[in-house]
Amino acid sequence: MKRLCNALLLASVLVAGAAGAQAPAGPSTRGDGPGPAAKPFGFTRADPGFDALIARDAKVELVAEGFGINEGTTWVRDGKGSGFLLVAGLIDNVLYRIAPDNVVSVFMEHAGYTGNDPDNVGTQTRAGRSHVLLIGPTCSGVDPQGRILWCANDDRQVMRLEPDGKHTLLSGGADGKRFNGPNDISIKSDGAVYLTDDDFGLRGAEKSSLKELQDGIWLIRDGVTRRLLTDTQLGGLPNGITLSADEKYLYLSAGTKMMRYPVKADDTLGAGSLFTQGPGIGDGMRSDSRGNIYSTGGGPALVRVTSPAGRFLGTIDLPIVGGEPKKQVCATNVAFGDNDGRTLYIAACDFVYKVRLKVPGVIQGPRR
Amino acid sequence: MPRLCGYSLLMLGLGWLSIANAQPNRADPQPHPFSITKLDPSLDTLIAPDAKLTTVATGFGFSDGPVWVRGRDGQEGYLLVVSIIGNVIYKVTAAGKVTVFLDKAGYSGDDFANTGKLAYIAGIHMILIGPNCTGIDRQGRLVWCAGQDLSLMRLEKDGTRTVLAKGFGGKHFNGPNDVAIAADGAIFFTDSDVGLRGGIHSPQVQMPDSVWRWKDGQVTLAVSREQLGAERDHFLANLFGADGAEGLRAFIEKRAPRFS
Repeated sequence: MKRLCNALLLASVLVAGAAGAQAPAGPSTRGDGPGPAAKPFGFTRADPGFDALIARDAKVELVAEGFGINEGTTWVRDGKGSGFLLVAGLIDNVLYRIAPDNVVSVFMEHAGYTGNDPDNVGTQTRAGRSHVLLIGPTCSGVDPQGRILWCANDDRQVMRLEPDGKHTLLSGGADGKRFNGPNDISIKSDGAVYLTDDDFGLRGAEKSSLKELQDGIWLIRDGVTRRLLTDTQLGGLPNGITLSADEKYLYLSAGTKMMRYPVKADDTLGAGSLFTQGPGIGDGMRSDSRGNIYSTGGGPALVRVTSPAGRFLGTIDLPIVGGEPKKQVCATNVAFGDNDGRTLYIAACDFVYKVRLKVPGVIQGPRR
Repeated sequence: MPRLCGYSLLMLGLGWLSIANAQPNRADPQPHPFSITKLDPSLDTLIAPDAKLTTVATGFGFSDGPVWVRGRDGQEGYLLVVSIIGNVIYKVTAAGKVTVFLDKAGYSGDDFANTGKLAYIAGIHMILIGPNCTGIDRQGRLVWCAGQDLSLMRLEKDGTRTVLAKGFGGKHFNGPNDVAIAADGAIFFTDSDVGLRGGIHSPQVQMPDSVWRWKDGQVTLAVSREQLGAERDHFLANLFGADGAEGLRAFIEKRAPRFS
């Protein structure tokens, strides 16, 4: 997901960190140069089907701010008719918990990197104007037993939190080689974990001497980690991932394209096909209960909505804050939440927003 | 907890260089209102007991080097504040409106992969790459520390940027950190390892951290690291910034009689 931020950088300003190129194409909330003027949120309706999902008078509401760059968000049901939101803090190296009353607290420290060598770990980039180090967790999820999973990106591991608070290593790679940086996951109701792994989290990215495996898509199930796709087979950088509501398909971002793969009975994948392409692809995504895909990435601060048939329905356009110091708005991931599953939470770099939907989304975890 | 907003101006003057680049476990700080710690009754002659701390602006992440620029010709004065991680000098009006005054003020190059000091401060993994100080000379010109350019700089009236000093005896500085400008035009400045990745352990270090004096184009050593004491240089600017050059001069005369 951080990738998403990245793609956007590439598109606009400087990805700063590694690349270092500075050629602002225009006002941007990230990097050097002038910032854009403030703009309220809005909706772009590309297809009448959009209105069946989001009311014409729906509002994009601010949940919390001050994260710098956030990511991997998940709604965690508490079994008592409520729950809380997890949000990954990429430059703080923590998982944040946001309660229904919008109070933010630290859920887990050192969730992305537990080591002591930040001089050589993590990706250098920008948050607004600030030069920062991405070193935190990049994903979160809930398995069918209600346990929280997360991507310790710079520890290069997928982790699980046990009910007693213990941290369990779910997978750190395969064949004696380490992942480059677990980026995002989607968890099937049978417990299978689908993972995107890419080198974005390594200092120097694809040029890093620490890279041990080709970027790709992995299946973690029953204690075994097996490769499903390489990035070459996928056709682009792996990052966003989600199962469809009926778990018959796995959607994957491949750069700015979105691919769809049928899921076979043994949880492996059939032949993929291009599902959709355009803005709002390249970072986190999730499916609502009807199979519509809500995706992020590629640069603009928006959430793209695509029908199960691959029809581009429209976008949720996040506001621009304006002013100095710059506050960066982007979209890195989404999560359905609240008791009825009809609230879409959006991790948006410095901010977390939410918007009410007409239909519930898929909330992973124990079946109710 | 999201904290990019919180510290801002309140962090000014903390001895941040002494903060290790490690990841301590930390408890959530309990919020508490501002307060004044009075060690001597004479503090009341400077700060009223009922003085209030007012938020001027937020969202800086890590700010430093504030200086007030007097208004001229009926214009309102304003505050300059450097952004150590944003690599700019901000202008802040009395009403709290923030704009960029000078861009690329700490580092003007493009080798971001190898520039800037990595630090873990206030819960953020950040890269210190921006300017570190500001000052106004007697002609009203801005003097600032371009830490990662390893330079002491001056902004001319026509907007051009003049390098006042980059090093001494053919060796470069480690990163100018703060200044105090004397009435005679002499600029005292601290040079510490803010400018190099890896800090004082960088293989690029050529001279020990020291205090230097610039005047009329000449750079001379004001206080050596040995004279200053290993830990105290980090706090020199904080100790003497408020007192101005006179305090620094007194300190130098005491510690380095050769100089005066």
